[in-house]
Amino acid sequence: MMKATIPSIARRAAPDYAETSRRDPAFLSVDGLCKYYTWRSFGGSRPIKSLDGVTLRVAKGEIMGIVGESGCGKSTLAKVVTRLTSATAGQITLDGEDWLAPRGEALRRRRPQVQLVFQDPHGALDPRMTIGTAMAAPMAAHGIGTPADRRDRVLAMLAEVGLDESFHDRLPAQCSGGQLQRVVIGRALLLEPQLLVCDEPTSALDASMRTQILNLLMDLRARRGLTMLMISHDLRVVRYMCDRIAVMYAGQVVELADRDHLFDHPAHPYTRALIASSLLEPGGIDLSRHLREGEVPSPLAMPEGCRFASRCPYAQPDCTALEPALKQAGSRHFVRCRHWNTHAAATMPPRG
Amino acid sequence: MSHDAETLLSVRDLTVTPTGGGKPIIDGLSLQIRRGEIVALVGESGSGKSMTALAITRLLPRGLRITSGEVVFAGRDVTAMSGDDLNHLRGAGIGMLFQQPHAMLDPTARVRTQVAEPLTIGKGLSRRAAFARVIDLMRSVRIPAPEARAMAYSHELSGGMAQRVMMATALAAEPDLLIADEPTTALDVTVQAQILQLLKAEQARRHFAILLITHDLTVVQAFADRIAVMYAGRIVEEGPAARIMDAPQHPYTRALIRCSLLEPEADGRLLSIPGSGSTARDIGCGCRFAPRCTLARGDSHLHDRCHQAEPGLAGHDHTVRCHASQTASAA
Repeated sequence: MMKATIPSIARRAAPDYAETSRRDPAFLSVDGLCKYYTWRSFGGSRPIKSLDGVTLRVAKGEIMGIVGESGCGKSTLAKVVTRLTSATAGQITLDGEDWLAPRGEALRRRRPQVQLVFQDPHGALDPRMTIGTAMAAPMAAHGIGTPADRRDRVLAMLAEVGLDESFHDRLPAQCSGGQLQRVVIGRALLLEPQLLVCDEPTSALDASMRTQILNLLMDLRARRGLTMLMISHDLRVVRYMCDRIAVMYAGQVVELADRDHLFDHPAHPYTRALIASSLLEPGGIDLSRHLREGEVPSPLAMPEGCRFASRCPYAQPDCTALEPALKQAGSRHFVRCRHWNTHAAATMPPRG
Repeated sequence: MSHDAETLLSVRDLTVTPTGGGKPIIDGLSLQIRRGEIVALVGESGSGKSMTALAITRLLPRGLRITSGEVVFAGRDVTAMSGDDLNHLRGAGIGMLFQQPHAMLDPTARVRTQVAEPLTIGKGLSRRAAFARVIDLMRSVRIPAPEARAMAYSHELSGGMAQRVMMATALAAEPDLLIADEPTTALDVTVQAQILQLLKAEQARRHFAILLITHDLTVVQAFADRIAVMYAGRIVEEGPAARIMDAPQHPYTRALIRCSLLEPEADGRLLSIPGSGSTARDIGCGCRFAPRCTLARGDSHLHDRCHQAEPGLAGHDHTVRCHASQTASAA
């Protein structure tokens, strides 16, 4: 699609993300991933573009953060990457192999490779099943070890996630939310996944529990060299956890950069609005500089041009006409905005 | 504390206990709100902050009752009110905003009917006059195209819009106090900031007081005049917002601020509060935070005191319930 415009302006235009990133081999490659759901109404149907051309590269051992607000497609991305739902178009490669190809029994055998940690640990555990049984169940389903073996592994894992042996025979109702989230993380790790996808793992927890879980995830990463996809609406969480961050808006990645670079030099107006509103400063902020009053476009009727234009204080006439591509803005920095160069410098106060 | 003319709400020694007996879920809570003041009541889940709001408006769920203490609003004892007085209190006296705006809106009624309700029922306006006023209210909470949105049903509104509609409904009754219980928790961060800004702008314009109930300390620092921190049914620290945020005295407040910011400590890790507060009400004697407190653990002299006697709330203007900080300030 982009190729068509290349001949005349190719020398001046920044390369786009899909092209530059194709050169580096990556552990997880997501290419042009689309997920369209179908909305049916009286006598017609329309696609809901939940994911629309997402491209990402995640290196082995890297924690990639995905941030965005509700409806931006971040949880759909988690579902497609964990093969809980199918993709409409695009490719995913995991450790050099096509991850969307396996089906049926072949997929079942490979499922342990990618595991998911859910947002609500109470919902992720059967209230009538003891912690020990729940943690051993995925191993049993995949035929790993004997029952005695599995019990040993569960006890070792309980210790690794910071819970004592007494939890083995407890029911979820006898544990706090933070303890259950440790159980859910431990259960995922028992299958020794290569990729751990965490979908808002701390959003349902209190502040004091949240830091415990984030510390645990960082410890596990150091110990096991885990590759992670960390999905969150909370910029503070991804700022602490992630090596690189992708900002999503309306089904697309709008900015992608190394963590510090993203916070120090945000280039997309939406990223700046997100930073300004989530790291509330004392004395208050004037959000109107970053955001116009308006709504996120409906996934049923995505605009032709830039999807953020309706809320963007810098929108120009050409923004609503043509959709911008994710273009290079620095050596490891990509942004989906035609005018980032003209407005980026002026607006963001330096932060210490 | 005196009931001067400035005091709008005075809660004194409020205790709420399950009717079947058991530990009080709110234990001897005192709180003052002056006219036009913004007070934030901060605590983690289970601390009793939402129940405090419900007790003030006499909306406690079945199974819980006020067993002692008083709630005086605009000079009248709320605990002794009944029937019409309570109806007048809720709405005209105290407006409320909740976490789930969609759950608070009637799915079968148009937006304008709901926003107009306090005007037609409370103030006796005609429907026509009320509807005209509704458009003004919706405009003041910056709902785009208010004439069209007034005819909408709640399912047609986004979360942010629904919360604006709730705000318009609460403001229609011109309350002296607005209790906002996690009004932005269910909303996206950019919308959250917009709603808080709007709330503050309306407060500055109309001079009502706000009791903001939240678990997120970072939200309140730019918003509140005073902050009260709750732990296990008790207020552990209360004072001017800037002083609490810059120089917190209670170890729980200090830890909670660090936890909320998610900024790594010197060793690169995040500060965490060991243990959980879920059983803190079962502590018979001593400070309820002591089992999780690094100060109580670090010092053997303090350790005994903290586990034997519960500290009282001490201080003037900035009060703290902690042996360690009281010892430090006396020295």
